Amino acid sequence: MDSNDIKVLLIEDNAGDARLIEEILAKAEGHPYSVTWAQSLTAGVVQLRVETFDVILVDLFLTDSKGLDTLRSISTESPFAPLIVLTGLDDKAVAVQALQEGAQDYLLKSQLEHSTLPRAIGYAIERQRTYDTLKSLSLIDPLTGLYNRRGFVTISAQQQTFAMRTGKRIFLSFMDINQLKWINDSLGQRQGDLAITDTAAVLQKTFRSSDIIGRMGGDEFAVLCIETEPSTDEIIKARLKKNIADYTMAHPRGFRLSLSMGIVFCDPAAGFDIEALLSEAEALMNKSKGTAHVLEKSDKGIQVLMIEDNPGDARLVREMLSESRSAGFALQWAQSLAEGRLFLASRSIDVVLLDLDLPDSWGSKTITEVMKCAPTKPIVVLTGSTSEETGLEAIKYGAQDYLVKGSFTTVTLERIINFAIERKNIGEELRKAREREVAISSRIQQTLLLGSPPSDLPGIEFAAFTVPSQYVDGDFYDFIRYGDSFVDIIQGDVMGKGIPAALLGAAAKSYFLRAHSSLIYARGCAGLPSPDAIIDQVNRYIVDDLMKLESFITLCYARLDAAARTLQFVDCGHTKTVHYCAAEGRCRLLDGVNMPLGFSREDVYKTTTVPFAQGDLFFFYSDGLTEARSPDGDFYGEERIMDIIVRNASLPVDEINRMIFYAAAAFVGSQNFSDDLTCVLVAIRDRNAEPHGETATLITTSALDELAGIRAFVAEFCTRWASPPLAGEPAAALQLAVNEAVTNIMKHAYGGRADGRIDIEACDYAAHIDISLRHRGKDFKRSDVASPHFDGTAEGGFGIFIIEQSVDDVRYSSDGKGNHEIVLKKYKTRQEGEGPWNCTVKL
Amino acid sequence: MELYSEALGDVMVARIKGDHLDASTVEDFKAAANPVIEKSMKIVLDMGSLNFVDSSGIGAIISCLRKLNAKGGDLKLCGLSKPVRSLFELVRMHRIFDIFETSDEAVAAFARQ
Repeated sequence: MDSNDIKVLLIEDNAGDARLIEEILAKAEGHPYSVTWAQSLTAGVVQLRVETFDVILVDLFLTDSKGLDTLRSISTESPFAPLIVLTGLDDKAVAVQALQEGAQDYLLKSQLEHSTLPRAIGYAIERQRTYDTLKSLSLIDPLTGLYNRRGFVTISAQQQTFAMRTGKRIFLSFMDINQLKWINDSLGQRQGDLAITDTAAVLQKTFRSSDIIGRMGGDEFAVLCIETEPSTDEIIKARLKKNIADYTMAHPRGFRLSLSMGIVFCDPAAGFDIEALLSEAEALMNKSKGTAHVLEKSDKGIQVLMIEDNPGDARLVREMLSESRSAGFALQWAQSLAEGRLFLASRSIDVVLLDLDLPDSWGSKTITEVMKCAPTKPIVVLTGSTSEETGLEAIKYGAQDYLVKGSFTTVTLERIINFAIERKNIGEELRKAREREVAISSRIQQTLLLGSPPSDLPGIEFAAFTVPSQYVDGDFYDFIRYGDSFVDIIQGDVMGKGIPAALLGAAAKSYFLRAHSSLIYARGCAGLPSPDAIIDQVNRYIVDDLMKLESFITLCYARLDAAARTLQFVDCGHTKTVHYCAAEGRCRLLDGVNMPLGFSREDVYKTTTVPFAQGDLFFFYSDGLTEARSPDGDFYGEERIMDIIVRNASLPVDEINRMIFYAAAAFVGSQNFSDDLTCVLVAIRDRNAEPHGETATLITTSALDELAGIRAFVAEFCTRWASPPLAGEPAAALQLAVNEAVTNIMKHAYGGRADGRIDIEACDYAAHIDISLRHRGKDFKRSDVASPHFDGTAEGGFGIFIIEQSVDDVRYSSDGKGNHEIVLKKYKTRQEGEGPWNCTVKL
Repeated sequence: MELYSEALGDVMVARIKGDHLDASTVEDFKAAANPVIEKSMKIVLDMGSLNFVDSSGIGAIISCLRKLNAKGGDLKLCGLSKPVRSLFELVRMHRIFDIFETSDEAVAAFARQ
């Protein structure tokens, strides 16, 4: 396959249609196409994960997915490849929807011809490219996908040339969204964004795809059209208005979308200045606003919205409020929930008086509905029932207060309204303050509390991460390195939450460094201060503050001595460190004897020393991990952690850490933990010192006849030499991978010559077998080999795919002197969730 | 690598003799298979003797299928040992080929068409 081929993914369940399309593309002139056929959405999605395509042809109606859902699944999987929809139905509505959902084109199967299909593919790719380029030039507004101001002006200039050539009139519409500021302020940014994207959708529906639509900034939009049939601004405005109404009907929101518009027409032959046209249209728009139904905020008193369907009750409240002698109230009256929503969306309201039983909503649900469209507005419930329960339930649902109809006076009404507004304001302030605190403390944690583990310490690997809880609670870790032989690991947890805990953690961290420098100075050349001396010093620094704040710190301070092969640690009331002992293949918990920092001035800290060996692991963690609870209330505990470590001790450290985290998340049933969760993993892994068992070498030529013998060598090594042996499917998989890799060396590196030399070395480790293939042929990279086709259209290209699926790791290396090596690694233990061939753990 | 073929009505049953179909035997296989493909429209390939097939082998079998399909014929497979079947599944070729346990079942499937 040539890299200039246009790679087409065809998702089509009808074999006849698929063949027809393949034939059309095979015969097409110009670019060659390589078509991959997937018979279902699932198969298509699998393809999209293994390779990238230039274009996707998709039938919307498949055995496993129907309609626009098909389209959405594909665009989620592959947001960048242009999509062409194929369909048997001549259904305009579906076509238009498909295009709105992001498809580039739409083709009827009955009209597929030798000329149309390649052209459609070419255009789709071209359009997508143009769009991508524009985006990269930042001519596109990211929120709406429309042009931004720069894009609009750039593209409009091209349109002018076109209009001049055809002698057609141009018209430019300028619009803005009424009350966008109000929507943003009262309903939140998210609703504001919705108003903007809704507007974009309405404009795309109202104008043709050849028209230029831009978001000029904020709430302003502009459209440049070439007039194809005589038009007036009334026609355009009417069409826009109808489309807004249709769209709003189909997508109900908490606000009412309305646009103001100004339109100017111009003859491009008579000169054309896009900026001048824009300001002219904008001025026209502003003029039209004067006559449009624009709502300005009333300054007089408190704006009360009463949602009440009983006119008698409503009149009573109105009269009471008008009697009020204080600030003064302005009352709006809505007779249904729907009408109430309209008021909330279009007017500035300070408080809602709400009858729960309305023609279109009843009971406590009514409160929820109102809160949905106006979460920041205080609600006072009007109830006919004298029972306390109704009122209390209303408050439980979020109302600020309640009034029993017929039993309140002007004074009570006034007071309850004022209090409701005040309480809601205070509540809002508190909520915002809490959010700010969480944001600040999590920033403190990320910047001050978490050190980065050394990445280049010979023979020792580190992995560390923290997942902050909703209320950061002061987990911290740090690493202090002394040359290549010592590294101190500190992992601690400050009792408490939020900013105070985060700051205490940061302070503690800095005290460790201070203790270090002062002790090193005091000791002169006598070497490193011991962990207990450091902790003792830090406790002296911090104990008074901690006692004053009624807080304490639990931590483990561990020193890894690479030369002596010991871990010396002081465990101050912290979780018990897990020590995985590779020789025994099991874990134990390291018990500490010390109290947390901040308990007493007089504490004497003791260091415990444990030896370690090649392959051992140490796992430090916060109690957020072991005390994570399942929905049934069980603790995650240490046993589960040790179990995961034992079964995966030879995996990369990041991988083990990730497995522990995901297993805990699965246990809790969520990735949101109630406490910070910290995992620090240290592995003693001197690659050169990894003890291995038998090794065997086979030296062969690059003649294809050798393949059977090479397979026999691998099989023999796996079953007879390796301990524990590798048998069954994993052994067959390793044989297959070696066979494919050697075939590649014979065919590609030695170009089919039979006299090249290949050295095959097998090496047995406790957890895996490595097979190294060395040759002096041409170097070839993984990317030199094409991706496979799984549809029966290609006879080759499977080799690399087979290798990667059959072993756990493949490494290519060269020494620059013409020696090349491929190392295949196959693990012996089967991991959980693994398929028959594939050893990657999916989390 | 040899191929023993036997006509059962209009179906040709071709039995592979040899225990592996890899890069070293694939040319022999193609040479043996081509005359059978030229003569017949309906072929059952009995792979019962093979305990190893690699990507070159799969490629050759795909090539047989394509040649037969091109002239309106068809190919069915039978007798795949466990590792061979696993390889077909790994590269998803079990979806492209009709695969049967025995040659009788494969022949019967032709008769039903």
